[in-house]
Amino acid sequence: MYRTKKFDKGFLFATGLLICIGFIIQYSASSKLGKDPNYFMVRHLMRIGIGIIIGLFFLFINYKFLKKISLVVAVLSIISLVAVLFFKDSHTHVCRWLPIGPIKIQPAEFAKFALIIYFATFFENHQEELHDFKNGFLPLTIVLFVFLFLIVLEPDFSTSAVTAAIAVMIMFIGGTKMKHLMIFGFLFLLFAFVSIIHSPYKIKRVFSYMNPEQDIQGAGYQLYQSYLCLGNGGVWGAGLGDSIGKNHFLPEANTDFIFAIFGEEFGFIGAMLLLIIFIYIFIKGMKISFRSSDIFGTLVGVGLSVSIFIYALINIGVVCGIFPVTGLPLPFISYGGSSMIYNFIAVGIVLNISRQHQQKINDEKLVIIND
Amino acid sequence: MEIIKSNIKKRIYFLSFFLVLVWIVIVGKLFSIQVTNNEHYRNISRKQSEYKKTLESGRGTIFDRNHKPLAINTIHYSFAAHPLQIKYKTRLAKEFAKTFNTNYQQYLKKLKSGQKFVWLERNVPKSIGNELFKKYKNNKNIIIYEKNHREYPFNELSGQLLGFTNVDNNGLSGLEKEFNSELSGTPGFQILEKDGKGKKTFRPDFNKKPAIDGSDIILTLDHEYQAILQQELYAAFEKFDADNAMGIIVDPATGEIRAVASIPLFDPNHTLDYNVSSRKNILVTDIFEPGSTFKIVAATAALEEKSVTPEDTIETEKGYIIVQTRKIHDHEVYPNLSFADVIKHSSNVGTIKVAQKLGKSELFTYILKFGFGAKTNIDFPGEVPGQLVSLKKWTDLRLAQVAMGHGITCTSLQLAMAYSAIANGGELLKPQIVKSIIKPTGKISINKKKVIRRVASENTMEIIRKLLLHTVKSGTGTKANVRGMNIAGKTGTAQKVVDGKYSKSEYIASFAGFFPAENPQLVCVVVVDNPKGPNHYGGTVSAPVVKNVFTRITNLSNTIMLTNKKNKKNKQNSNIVTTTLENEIVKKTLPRKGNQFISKVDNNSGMIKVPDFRKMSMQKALTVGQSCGLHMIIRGSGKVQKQSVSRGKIVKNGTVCIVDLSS
Repeated sequence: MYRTKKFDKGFLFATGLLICIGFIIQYSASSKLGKDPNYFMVRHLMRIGIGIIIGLFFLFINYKFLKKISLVVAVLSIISLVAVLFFKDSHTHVCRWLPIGPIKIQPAEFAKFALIIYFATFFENHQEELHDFKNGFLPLTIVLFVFLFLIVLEPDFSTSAVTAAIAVMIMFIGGTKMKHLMIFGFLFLLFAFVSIIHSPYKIKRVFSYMNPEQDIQGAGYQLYQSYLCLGNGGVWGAGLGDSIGKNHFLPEANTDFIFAIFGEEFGFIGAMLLLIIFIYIFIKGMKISFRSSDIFGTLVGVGLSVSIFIYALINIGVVCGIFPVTGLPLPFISYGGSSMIYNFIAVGIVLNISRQHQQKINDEKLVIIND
Repeated sequence: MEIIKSNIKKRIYFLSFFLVLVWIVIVGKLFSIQVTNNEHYRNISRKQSEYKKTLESGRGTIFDRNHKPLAINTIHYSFAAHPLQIKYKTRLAKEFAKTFNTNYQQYLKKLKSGQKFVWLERNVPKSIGNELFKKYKNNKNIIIYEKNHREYPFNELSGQLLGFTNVDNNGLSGLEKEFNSELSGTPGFQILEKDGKGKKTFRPDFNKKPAIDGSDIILTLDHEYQAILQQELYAAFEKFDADNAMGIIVDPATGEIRAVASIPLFDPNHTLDYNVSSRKNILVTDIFEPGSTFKIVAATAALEEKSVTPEDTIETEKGYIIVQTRKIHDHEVYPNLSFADVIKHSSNVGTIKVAQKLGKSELFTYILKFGFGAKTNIDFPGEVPGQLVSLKKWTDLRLAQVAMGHGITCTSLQLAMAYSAIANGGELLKPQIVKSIIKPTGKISINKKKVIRRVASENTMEIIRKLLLHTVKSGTGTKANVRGMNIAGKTGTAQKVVDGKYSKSEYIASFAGFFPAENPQLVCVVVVDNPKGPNHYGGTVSAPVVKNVFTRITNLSNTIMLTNKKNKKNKQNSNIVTTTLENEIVKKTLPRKGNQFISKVDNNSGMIKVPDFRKMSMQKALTVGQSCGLHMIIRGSGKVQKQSVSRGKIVKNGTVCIVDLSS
């Protein structure tokens, strides 16, 4: 029997705070973008509502059930990744959104989830063969490459790169031999080398983010505007609603670059608060995962916690010019349905795992009382 | 299991450490952007989001002394379009064609040119563009610019005096230039919020500074006098096919300029249609040899220094005089003339003899006293002082020439001010063109009469006035004579200097006069440059102009002022007095003396019979009353309705008779 109140309250509270902050800044950042000021706010709120329902679902099922469906989910995910290739967006000329009825989903977001539970299941079922190259390493690698290949075809390089990083981290925690993991490192270097030889200008463009002021009107425009927002915010912030960047200066002000608007309105102090919430959720998630009684729970928890944190780090790193510009959303804050649903599923499952751990403690107490 | 757990723990720590490291790097970078360098980014951010909109200040209006606006501001529209966004091109083109009375094809061509931005019409007066403005002011694809535009409602009336402005409303010439800083005011600004698409929005909390409008200027000019002077000058200019003609009317009591005209005319509304030379106010910028009109200088000096009396006989019977081997003739040979007749007939020989008796240094002193050779310092750009050879270089010939107005140059304005000194009893005044300047706050500065110096005694000037009256009555200036009006004046016919020699065929015909001779109210100088035909004399070309001007001004229903001499004396020494008054009060204090005009008669003694003034015009009543010897006081305008002394009554000479007029 699971009891509802026993999940990790700190993790839940931090997530709730994040969602609230996300809602406020989403409302402010999008107010000048839609047909009316509430356009994006209302839709964001709807997505939070749907996310809560789905998150509650994953909170209350037995997470071990996910092991049973992991293969099905992986296959469905691959099918959706193939299917999305037939739906090219007429504006952006990429195939990232799969229309299902009235809504559009991003299969790549759910591919992350599928990959995490599939990998975790694999590790729990193949504990003895982990160090075996042929039976332990190769099957995972092949599955991973199928996913990555399909995501690259969309094309969505940044998502595929982050997905690869998450997968490698799960393998690293799950106990894959370092020697085997080195192969990924080697492949990465090879890929980088070929890219530089083949199209050095692309590399140059990717790294142009290091100095956005050199091309304020061109490639550096977005990042430069992001700097202006953050700088205008200063230490204490311009105040809620008083961002300048959101007035059509900063592109993607309510999606990929929403952190810049947040930093402008709430300053360095506000930005630090957000960063602390993210690192708190991450560390809590890692602790919850580690305390899980089974390998599956640990690896799923790690995968999901890392995925949220790494998205936050890369998104904020892009906004302040540490990473090249990618299209990754800031969890719970950026506008976007698929990512919002994914984050709620992740939080639901991590809380679910924490409950199972709490349950264990209660069982121990029970034993003592029984004595 | 425990081994696996501990292995996992190690790896979790390692991974977490790595990600926290990235987190710390991010914090460091944020610190550098938001804390260390925030000022730099903040300034750029503010700058790109603010738009400084200039708030134009309204340029002040220029009025004549009766508050007729001579230079005003009107709104002009400029229409432009973004053709790519406009679907109703033909309809729009036809609409513009209808408004501007042109072919619609030219607009359609512009709209179909494929350009992002085209001008459809620029600088359209409000009266024409108002319909289009109303219709399209909220249309995103049609841009309408509003701009203050300077307009001169009387077109060519005193065009050179007013001058004109450039497209930015800065005065380029004339009074517009001289008083540019007073007229233009101070533009303000309004900071608008600008977004990334360039859209500007008003924010009440943003910095703003309202524009301060320019001051209004009230001139001493009278637009009716101006119109008369211009018409008469123009008629003479046409009749004699002159190169140019200029005229000026001055109130000798105050030095206020009532009219100033130069032909060819100039309309500041259409500057480009006129020759550059016609834009100048040649009365202050151009110099000429005055000729015989200048003889009053030697006459005044001789009388004031008691070198001659009007009755003294001057030997002129030879008809010529030899000075330094140069033989100088009179126009005709006279018997020996009295000094009064020398002036009346404008005898060169007589004038030279008087001047020789007077001496170089005395004549030179009086030339300076009359204001020649120095700027009058009128508030007008481009004034020149004229040429006067220094006394040290004066030869006997120079003395003789200067006495009759040659070998010296002056401006028409200088001549007018010299005659004003004679007219007002001996005071050289600073010429005034601006009566007052009214700031938008209601603060008003009034230019008052400014005496430069006394030239000669009242007695001397009275004698000169009489001599000049006789000149008109029976001397060279008879063409300026009107029966019943005592016009006084002096003619001048100077040979023009062409290629360094006195021309035998080109002349400058001038006449300087004032009216009424006993108590002058107006001085008028008319100078016609190079009149063609046998009658090129000042007496035949310019004197009739002055006569017509005086006659017509007197006939104006109620605007000739014949103020009592005593009143004039009250308006003594003056500077610019600045007082703050409410606008209403200002208007009341402006120089509109109502309709009460006083006239004075000085001749004859004895008794007179009061005539019946009823149904007479003001001018007729004045003339009739004056000729009888009554002091006429006139109230109102129109026809005489009442008279204070009943008709037929025998009264003393000089009795006051008040007549009430109404229309």
